[in-house]
Amino acid sequence: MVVVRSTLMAVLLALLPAAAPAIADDGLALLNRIAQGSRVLTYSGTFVYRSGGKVDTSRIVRSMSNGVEVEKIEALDGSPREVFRVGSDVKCFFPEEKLLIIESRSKQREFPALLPTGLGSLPEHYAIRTGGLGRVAGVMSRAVLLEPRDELRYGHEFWMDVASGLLLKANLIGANGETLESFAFTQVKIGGPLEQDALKPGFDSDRVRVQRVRTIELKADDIGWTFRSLPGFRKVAAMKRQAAPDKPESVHVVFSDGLASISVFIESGGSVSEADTQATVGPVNVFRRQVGEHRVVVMGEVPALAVRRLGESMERKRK
Amino acid sequence: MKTRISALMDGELEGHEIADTLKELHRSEALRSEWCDCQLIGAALRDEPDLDIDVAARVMAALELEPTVIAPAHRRTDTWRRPILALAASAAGVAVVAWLALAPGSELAPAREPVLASARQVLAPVPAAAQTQSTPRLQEYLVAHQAYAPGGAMIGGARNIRTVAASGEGR
Repeated sequence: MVVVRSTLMAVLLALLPAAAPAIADDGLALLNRIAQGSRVLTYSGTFVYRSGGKVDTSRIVRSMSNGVEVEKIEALDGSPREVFRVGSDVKCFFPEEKLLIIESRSKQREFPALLPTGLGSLPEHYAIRTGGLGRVAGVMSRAVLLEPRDELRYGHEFWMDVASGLLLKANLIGANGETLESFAFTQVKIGGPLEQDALKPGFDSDRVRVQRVRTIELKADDIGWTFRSLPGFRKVAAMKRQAAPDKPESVHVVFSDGLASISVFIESGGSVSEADTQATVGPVNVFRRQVGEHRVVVMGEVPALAVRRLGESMERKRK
Repeated sequence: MKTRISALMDGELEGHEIADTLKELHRSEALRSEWCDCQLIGAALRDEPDLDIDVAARVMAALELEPTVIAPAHRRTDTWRRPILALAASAAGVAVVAWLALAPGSELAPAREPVLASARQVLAPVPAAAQTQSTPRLQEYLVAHQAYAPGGAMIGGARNIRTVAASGEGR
């Protein structure tokens, strides 16, 4: 039904005489501001993440100075896990294990051409509306609502600070209007200056075990698999990944419609007799399928139908 | 005709009926404004606050593929063409989240799945078999997936919260 209506709107659009200047607070423009705000702003605050009855509170400090991003996130519940990032250097610290995991990526490796159309193609897959004004973490915010135009994706509700464009709250909405996942600031300070030492890592790199993850970008020809395209989803990244030197390699291909994304992992192993399975982890749907000597795992914050359809369409490329 | 229009809006018409109704809409200014009214009523029913906006214009704007951008003057335009891209790169959750998978003790907590499944009516409960058979690398993949999900980039640093949260699982 949603599909019918979107087709209908497109046809209607074609039929209506060209007119109607774009509205200033058009939802898409607001989304662009959110995207921009997340990138350039300096802020600090406390954030709550909810998913399936699980609630986690964390503290974020983020700064953008001289073109370099520095970000520190620490868990406030349980052991004080910490993620520390400077530019493309990311360190994750797990205090209980005294383990520090590091990934450093060269600038050139950062998503060379992810979503060339940017947010521009979102209206093809979502009806975007601006919502009302409301307060989030004490800040006057404007809602932007995205309703999926088909059954291959979920809805989104974004609340942004009107002044800065910082995203303060984000909900993932299921087919029945239920909230599948929610991020929300409970307290936030937008703009600097930050407290002294706010961005200092809470661990000593010399006194922990260090582990590095390796990813190597894959060209389209080297993936070795074909996918029948899922409406609106495009391939945005492909890589070979290895979690640690003693772990097996797997191929990771990412598809996205601009908001929702689906990852496909291909690893060697598994037995041919294994049946396809479908599982759910929080808002993520997972589909597993055995194709010959390979095990395929497809997952994403999308309805079960979407991961299954993509997984079933996969075929080994003949060499 | 009024009924046809509201049926059209609700997506209840067959293909040929849609075409006919649209033709009518195209011909008649009065009908077009009625279509707007229908949209407004729908919006009112959905309790949307901004009812004063011309809906036809809003639809046009929403369907417009070139984003209307209120850009600060100093931003370069090529940055705007790919905002999500810029974000995804900056969010570097890319790298970040992958770590969780590797964290000791970050295996999936099996108890979570049935609870989640029953809380969400859309999905059938996860069969026990799916859990026991689930690849030991599922958690690692979940983390890698979240890292590369461009949508998460909208959330900026907040996505790394997911990382931090996920790493606490199963402890």
